[in-house]
Amino acid sequence: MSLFYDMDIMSFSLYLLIAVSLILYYLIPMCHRWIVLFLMTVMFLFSANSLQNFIVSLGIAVATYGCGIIIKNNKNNTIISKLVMTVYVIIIVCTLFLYKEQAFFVNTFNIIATGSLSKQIIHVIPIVAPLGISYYFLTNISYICEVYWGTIEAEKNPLKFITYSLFFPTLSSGPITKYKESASKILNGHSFEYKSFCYGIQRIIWGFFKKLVVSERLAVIVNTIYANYSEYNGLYIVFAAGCFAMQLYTDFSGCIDMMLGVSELYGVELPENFNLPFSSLTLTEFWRRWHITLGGWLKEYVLYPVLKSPLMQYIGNACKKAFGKKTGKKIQTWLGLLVSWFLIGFWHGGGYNYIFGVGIFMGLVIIFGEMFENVFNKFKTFLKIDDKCMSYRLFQRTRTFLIFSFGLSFFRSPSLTEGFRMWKCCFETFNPWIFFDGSLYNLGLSQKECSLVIMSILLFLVTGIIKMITQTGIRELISRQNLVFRWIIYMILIFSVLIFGVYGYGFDAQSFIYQAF
Amino acid sequence: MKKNIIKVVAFSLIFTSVFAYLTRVFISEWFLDNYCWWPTTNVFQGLYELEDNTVDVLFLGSSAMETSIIPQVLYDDYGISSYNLGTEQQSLMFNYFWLKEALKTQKPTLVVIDSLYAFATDDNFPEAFCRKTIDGMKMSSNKLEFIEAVCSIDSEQTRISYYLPILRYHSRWEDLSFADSLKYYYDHIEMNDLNGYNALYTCDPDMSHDIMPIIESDEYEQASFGNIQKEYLDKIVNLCKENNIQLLMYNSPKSSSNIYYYATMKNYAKNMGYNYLDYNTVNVQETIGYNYRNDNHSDNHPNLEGAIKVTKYMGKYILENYNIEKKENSHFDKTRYAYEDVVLNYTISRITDINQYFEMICSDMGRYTVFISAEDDAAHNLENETIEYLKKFGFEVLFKDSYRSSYIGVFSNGVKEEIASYEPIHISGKISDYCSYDMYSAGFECGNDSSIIINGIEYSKKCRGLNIVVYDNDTRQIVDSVVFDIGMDNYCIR
Repeated sequence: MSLFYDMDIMSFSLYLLIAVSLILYYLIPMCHRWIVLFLMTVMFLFSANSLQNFIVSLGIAVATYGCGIIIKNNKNNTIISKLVMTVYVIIIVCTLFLYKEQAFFVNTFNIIATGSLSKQIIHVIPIVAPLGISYYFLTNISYICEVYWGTIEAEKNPLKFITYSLFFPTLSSGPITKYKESASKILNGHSFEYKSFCYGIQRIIWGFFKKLVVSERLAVIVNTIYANYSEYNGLYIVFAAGCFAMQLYTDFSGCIDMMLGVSELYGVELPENFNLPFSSLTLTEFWRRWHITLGGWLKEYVLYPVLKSPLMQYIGNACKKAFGKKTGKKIQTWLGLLVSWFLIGFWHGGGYNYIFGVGIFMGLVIIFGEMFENVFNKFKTFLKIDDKCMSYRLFQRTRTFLIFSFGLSFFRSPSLTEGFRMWKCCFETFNPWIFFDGSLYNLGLSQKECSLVIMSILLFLVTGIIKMITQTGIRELISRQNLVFRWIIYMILIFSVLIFGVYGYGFDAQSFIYQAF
Repeated sequence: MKKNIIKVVAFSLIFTSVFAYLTRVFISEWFLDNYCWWPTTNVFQGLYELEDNTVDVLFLGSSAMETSIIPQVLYDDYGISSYNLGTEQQSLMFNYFWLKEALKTQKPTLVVIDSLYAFATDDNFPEAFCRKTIDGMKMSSNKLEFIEAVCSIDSEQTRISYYLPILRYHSRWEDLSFADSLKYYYDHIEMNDLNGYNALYTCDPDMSHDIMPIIESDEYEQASFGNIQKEYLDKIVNLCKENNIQLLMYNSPKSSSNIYYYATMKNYAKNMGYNYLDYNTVNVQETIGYNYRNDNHSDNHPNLEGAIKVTKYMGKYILENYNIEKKENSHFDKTRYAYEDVVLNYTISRITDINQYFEMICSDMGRYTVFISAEDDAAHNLENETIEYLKKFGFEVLFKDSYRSSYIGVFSNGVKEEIASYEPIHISGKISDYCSYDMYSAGFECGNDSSIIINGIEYSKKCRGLNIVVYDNDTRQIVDSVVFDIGMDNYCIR
């Protein structure tokens, strides 16, 4: 039996290997502990990729390391360092386009050439991208920019750089790391801490719970409705959109929980990617709490540089002259935001459904919100609406969730046109009784399974409220309780995953959605 | 640090205990409650419980083997101590591992393998039967090898789910009842007192034509073995040779048998220096008088009558061709009762006269539960003799002016429940933990229907007259489902 057999992030073999590596990690001297992480990274990379993609991944890391060294050695020669950085970023972005964003260019070309998306002159070349390419490309670009800007020193040890750049827990779904924040945490050895270790295990199990108990079940409902939206029309579509938002959250954050938990086992603290996104009052706040590291990356390496670019400065000045100083500055920011939102959609894949659903649409809602903020405020004052009371906040949270779910529904659609077609079906009939007459039990889940999902979502709500109140989170709260209570909670969680999880023979557990990016 | 180590150990112990308990709760129902139809676990359990080195002949194979050879008959009639290790869809690959396991405690002189699966394709390893065959094996190097072999063929199956069965059966949580939570505290697995034999009672209702037996010849074209099956057939041969065990290749009477399989197995056995005994040949079929209409239960499975014919010929064949001596084995004295039980059940299931039928059931009233549901009319022409038998069960309502009425009667363990009406009647209840029923009757004027559902399965013949189902409380089997029309036609339908 191959050691690398079936080593995805939910496989038993991976966790067995992690257990062995942990023993080794804490046995060897502190200064050499990163070597264990290097070996784990290489093994994981090797098992999860074809040989070709394994070489590509390592090659990119080595190339990034080399560029960093060249830039560092030519600190005083700005032409060479700028040239190296520019060429590097262009090559890396082109590579990303080749692997992930072909669809955008192919579709755009076809539309321009034929006037229709259905007629295809050229086709997407099917290439299997290396695992985690979208994540570590951004990590690498960030590294090169920081070295170029002189805010960090280039890493001297190529193996250490590979360990940081391709750190195995970040390969599946991120988080996207910054060298100055995470490199030392990954590369400096950590001494064993019982509490951190236990927290790591708890977080892994929590991730499994989200994925196997909730996400996999919601996927059944979503798949049923999306596969036949002309039959499941009306409010079924709204229900599917809401379910998909929850599915994606439990899937993506579940994966992040597992991988952050694994990192914690080694004492490595990686940046958080989620912070109670569904508690957000506005869409702007939502995106500060959802996929935090991607938003942060784009702000730092796209939005700010774009806003500072000569072209945007010129546009900004022109707008200031035309609309006044305050509005002109806002227009400049909104243009920058549109570019960023386009890139967020674009990063998810070249399809127009991504660019619209999780890109331009979100950006436009935020911009319109800012644009008409004064009008809304006047309206609220006129109607004497108290925006501090709980019911108004609940309304805001529901509104944010619905807007996000609407945009995300295009993400789940096979194409943009299919997405719009589906929403057209939503308005063909009015069927609110589906929520009361048991129709929802005919979407692939039994009554017991539906109850399980509802109870789980209520559990997320409770843990979320606890986090909002305590600011420390549920783990911290539980750790302060008596041992018997703590252990009962842990046992219930572990056995809930074992018993209620959707896995095993006859269940084809879907891979993590964000693993595809 | 010391405190933390103690905590980890204590947590692990509690976790392991809960895990073990839940594994037992979640394990599939068939694993524990395995006494009745198509047993697997208790066939294997039976092997483990045998005294060491008491089996002279070991039978291995699929359902075709388990339903065709009766070790009790072999002992009673020929003095041969044997065990039938055949179970549902146990192909040659599975036979190999179970042979290895059996050889740990037994030293048979002869191993008989059934050739049904020799020609099965490489994808013919349904997960359910892999489970049924592997889960019953005790943890050992054989089991590890077995699991490895199965998982390397079927990549959808995982090794760990065999070591930790809850990973396979956890999805049963929706079906669990309170009774399941108590499964840990008692053991359903009972000794297989039929020594691995699985008795089938009925005749094949679709067997309307004669099966042409194979004319023995060396001229037939050869078929192709299944690749994996051939690999394990060779391994069985080698294992037998290593252990100095004689091997007999056997083909039970099968309506699906053909000349190509016959020729191939015969040739293979000859090349390996072993005998091949095919019950589908003219010679054997004429000798034993096998009649598919009377002796066959379904395609590849003889009923009890057929199995007796097959076994008796097998006993004679073994004594004539192998050096196996008749000897005393007290184990078979202890298990004789179980065989006698199935013979009585079989006899009941073949009676067509209603009075004889009740007489036979009355001979061991404590053993049987009788379910009666009337359709159309079941009272008008009841004979006095029949009435007397019904009275023995305590039934009294049916023969009191109830022409074309609905009627339901249940008799079990000395307690009767009966109800008659000119409206449709429905009752349901439980005889034991293993037997629940749901019955319906509607006389001619109010629906003209009958239903006898036992453990979720409909058994009523749904014809005019007394629809009767007989359930064996001991073996937990449905002994018979029959309808006696006591009206003008006076028929009996099964």
